[in-house]
Amino acid sequence: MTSRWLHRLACLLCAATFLLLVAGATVTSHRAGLAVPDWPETYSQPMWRFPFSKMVGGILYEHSHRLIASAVGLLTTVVALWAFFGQRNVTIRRLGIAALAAVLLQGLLGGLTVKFLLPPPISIAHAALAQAFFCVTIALALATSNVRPIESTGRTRGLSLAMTIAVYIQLILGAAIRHSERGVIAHVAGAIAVLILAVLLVRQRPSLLALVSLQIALGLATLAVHQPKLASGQLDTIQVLLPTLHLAIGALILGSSFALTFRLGIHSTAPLRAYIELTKPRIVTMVLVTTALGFFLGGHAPWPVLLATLVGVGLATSGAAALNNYLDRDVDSKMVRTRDRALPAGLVSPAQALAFGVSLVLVGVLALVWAVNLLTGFLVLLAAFLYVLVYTPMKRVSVFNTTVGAIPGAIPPLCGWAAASGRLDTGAWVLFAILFVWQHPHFYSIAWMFKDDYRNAGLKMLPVVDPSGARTTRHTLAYAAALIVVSLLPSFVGMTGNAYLFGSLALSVALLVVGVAFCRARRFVDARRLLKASVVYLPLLVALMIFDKL
Amino acid sequence: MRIVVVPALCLVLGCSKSSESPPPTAPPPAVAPATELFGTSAIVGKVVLKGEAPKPKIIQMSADPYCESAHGGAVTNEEVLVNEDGTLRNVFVYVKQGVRGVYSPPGVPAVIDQRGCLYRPRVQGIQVGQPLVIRNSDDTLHNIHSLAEKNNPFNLGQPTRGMESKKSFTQPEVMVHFKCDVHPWMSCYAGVLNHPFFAVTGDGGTFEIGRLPAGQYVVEAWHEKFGTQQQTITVAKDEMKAAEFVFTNAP
Repeated sequence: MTSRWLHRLACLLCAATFLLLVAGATVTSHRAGLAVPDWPETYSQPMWRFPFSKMVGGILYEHSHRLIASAVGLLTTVVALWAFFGQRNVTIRRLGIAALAAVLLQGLLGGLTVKFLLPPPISIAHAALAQAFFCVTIALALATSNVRPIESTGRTRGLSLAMTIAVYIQLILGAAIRHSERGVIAHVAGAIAVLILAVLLVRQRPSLLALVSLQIALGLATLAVHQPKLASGQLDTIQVLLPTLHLAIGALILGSSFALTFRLGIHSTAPLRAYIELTKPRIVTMVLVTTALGFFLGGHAPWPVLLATLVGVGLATSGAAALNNYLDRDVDSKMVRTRDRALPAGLVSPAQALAFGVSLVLVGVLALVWAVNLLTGFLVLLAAFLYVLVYTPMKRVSVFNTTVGAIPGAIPPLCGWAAASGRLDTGAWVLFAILFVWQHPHFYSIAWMFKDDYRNAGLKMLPVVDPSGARTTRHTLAYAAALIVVSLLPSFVGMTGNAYLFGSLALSVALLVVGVAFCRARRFVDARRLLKASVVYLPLLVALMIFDKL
Repeated sequence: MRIVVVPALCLVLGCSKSSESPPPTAPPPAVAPATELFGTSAIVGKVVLKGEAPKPKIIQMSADPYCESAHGGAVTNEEVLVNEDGTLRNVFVYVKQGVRGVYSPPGVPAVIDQRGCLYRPRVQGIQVGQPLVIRNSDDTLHNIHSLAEKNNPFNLGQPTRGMESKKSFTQPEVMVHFKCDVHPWMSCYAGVLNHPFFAVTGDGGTFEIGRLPAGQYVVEAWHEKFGTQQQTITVAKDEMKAAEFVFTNAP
């Protein structure tokens, strides 16, 4: 049973959050974020005891923001506890927890950005989480109400979801402009995309189109009166008012679009999930981790370069994975392990997958060339080429596909290294070698586990042409042994020290022991144990390297 | 036994820390090091603004009643201060290249005073390691926010009259910008150098950089609105060389 009072409180929280967003925008517009240098105190006094008479100049904006924020925090705690302990509905309980977690994190981000003198990443994260929290409060208000879901077509649901995501990205870009003077062109391009979506949704929500039109006019006016952050002197009223209003309308558009999406039914995210699944998120995650490792060990480039690298590599890798799915759609439909994937299951059409994959690779590579450097863009393109156009077809032809496929699989740390330093040093190739060798026992164990599947699909994996397993186990042991030597190289070339040396030796020997056990018994469970060991091995090795470098 | 094992282990593992007590450090020198080179030459001159002086804007101090009451009438923005003879005030003139000595910082602190919700002085030079005293002479709250890039930036609160904070700089940096986020019109600059060859133009728009050894120097003049100008100036022993910097205010 949903309490009417909980719903009323949730609505109040929603309204208070909007007020808080505007108050936060006012702080940034007045550039008063540091008018109170300490946190959580205000000029060494407990926040609630700071006298109103002392709220002068910039303190008025910053301190008011903190007061409203603490009230919202208190209200959120009440709503969250009520939702979690007083409600049966799983959605409401989860939303309550999400709201509480978000508001705590948000307060922390606000404090951190003051303590560290407004570093753009923290300030932008604070702005982005604020809008996400606003959406959670709207969801709480809707979930506790008697409002029924709106019946509609899949197209409307997709458009509405796309609108919400696009507007959210716009708000992050807007925050980036405000806090780092970057991203104007992307923000303008995004405005056009949002306008198109609003036009397409005009039948369902005419008010959205009106708001978006107003918002674009406000945005252009804001740009016209904009003064760079470091310019001295006082701001005119209009220079404060316009960006604040622009943010407030932006939040209203997000809220309106999110509410529509929520009421159309959150259950309808299947197409989105199909597209995400198409990008092989687990592989992308591994690629991003090893890219970040290469970046971290390769040089001292600033954080925006790392961010741009991860975005570019992530997009291109996702695209390459989608293209691999596209090319493999016939064999995937023949294998038990893969026949539920988006393409064989018919959730995404082949043409859509092809267009999706090609666009992602192109956007990712171009983003890298534009925002990082040519070498990184080239390496990613090379990896995509080797993975999609060499390895994927080669699986049907030759058992050497694993070795060839291990090359693009080992390129990500090169990308990170190139992004951080602009060149490829010995250390980059050491990381390449480790990943190249590591993939062999990793993929041989998978191939052994699913060898019947691969045989039915006509893929030339080593265990398929080697039923006894003699060759497979020989290769596995050889590479696992080679990994012991290769994994020690970082310490030999001076990248890491003794902690890594002994740690990696222990890890590699442990992996070899699991490998030997697999080679002796050759059962499914032994292969699975080797797969698990290899999956645990790599993050531990990465952690050792980073630990040793710190 | 352990005494033998520890150094042996260190030899194997490449420990960097010595187990012995560190050698006694040399006592600090009583006199300044001999590398402090001073001479008898000087560069003197003035800084001129060509073109019409921008009309100063009135500062709106109503956001803090104290600030408004601290002044008899309207206060104007001090970003550009032009003297009656067309010379420019608050220009930081300093030797950018050519200084060879190593100079120890003076013990006398440089001061930034917050008075009437304005910084005094607005532009000054300070040496690396020289103490900087930041004082609040106002009956209101200030925060002093340094936007240093080569030195550590900071943001301090000074809520009451008479509060003082001490800071110093570790790296040369021209210029370090300070501002107050409570009173957004408050802004001042310090040029941090590792030598004493600098000056700031005042009422007459003139500067004098004295006690220079003979030699060739790159001299730069910095103004917060008009940017920088450079000249290469050679001075002989005992020479007083004249120089003039001209900034142009593009309409």
